[in-house]
Amino acid sequence: MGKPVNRSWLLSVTVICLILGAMLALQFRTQLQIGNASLARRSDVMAQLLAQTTQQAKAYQDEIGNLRWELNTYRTSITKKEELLGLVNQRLENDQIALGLTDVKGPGISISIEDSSLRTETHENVELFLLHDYDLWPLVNELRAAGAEAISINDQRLVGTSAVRCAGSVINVNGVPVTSPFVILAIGHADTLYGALTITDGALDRLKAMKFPVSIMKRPDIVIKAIGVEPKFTYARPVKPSPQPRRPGAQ
Amino acid sequence: MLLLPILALIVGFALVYIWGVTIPIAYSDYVAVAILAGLDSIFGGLRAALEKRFQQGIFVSGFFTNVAVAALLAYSGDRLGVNLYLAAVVALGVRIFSNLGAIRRALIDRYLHQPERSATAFIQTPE
Repeated sequence: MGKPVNRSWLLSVTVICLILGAMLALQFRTQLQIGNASLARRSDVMAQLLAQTTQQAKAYQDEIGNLRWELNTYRTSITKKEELLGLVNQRLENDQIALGLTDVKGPGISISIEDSSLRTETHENVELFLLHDYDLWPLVNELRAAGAEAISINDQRLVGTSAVRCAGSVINVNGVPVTSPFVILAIGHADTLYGALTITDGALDRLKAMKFPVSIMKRPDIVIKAIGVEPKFTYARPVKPSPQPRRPGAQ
Repeated sequence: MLLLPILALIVGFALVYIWGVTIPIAYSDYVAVAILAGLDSIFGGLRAALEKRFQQGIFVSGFFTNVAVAALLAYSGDRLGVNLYLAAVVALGVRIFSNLGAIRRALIDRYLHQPERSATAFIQTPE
């Protein structure tokens, strides 16, 4: 045993080499798989996807426009026929404003606000000088509290289902990315809206304290666009009114 | 002479490659370190064979222990949050190169410098 036999090593080295070859192939295959997976995430593929999706979105927008026009023609033809439907129509108009389905105009205010132009010091957080979703929320909230009837951020109409939320370096409004400078339009009693925002230590003062460039203007003729894509209701269903009115708390 | 192990390497590679089996990507790093350990063992074995002190039991057990321990070290390193696989990569890398150097020297001695060597040996004998 202690005496080395000539060539006996060849067999064991061969067997071990077989195993090593198998391990190499295993690893090679796995790495190939990783490579393929990362290939799918490459930016040119992403750009192509983006272009496709944008095109599709445009097609849907056109379709929405066509359907709205169709709806309008139906509605006008109905109004001619029935007097009663005039009331329904009025109600519909009201609801359409509330849901942001039509463009609206009227007096109100326009606020423009930008990312801070202050330069960051070496170890200061750059995030402090950028506008975030939580900077816009108080403005929208104040406007609503002051009786604004229609609000938009960079032409994105805010309705009941709207969300204003940071996503990476942009803010998504209604799922559409918008960036600084932000223009917030609101229709309502202009003086009330103006006062609600410019009150001392109010929403605008806080932004000014953070050195964000802010300007606010009362205007008699603000036009706010309709919502781009109407919300679809998959889960919520209207509840039919029961014959007997239920008292609160009664089972 | 070395043709047989190289052929076995190719056959083993081809078999598994055609079979098309893969491992979870998370374990890929451990297999890489295990492969390095296996390479080290094979070079060590070749060196021992050339230096005429090859022992089959040591070689085979060394291969399997090194492969298992290297993979285990890398795995436990990941669990502990220390890049222990770097230790395996550095240690095995150094050993592979030193083994390769020894193999090269042994081969050159055997096939090229046989007379010179005996000459030096002859000169050195008086010491």
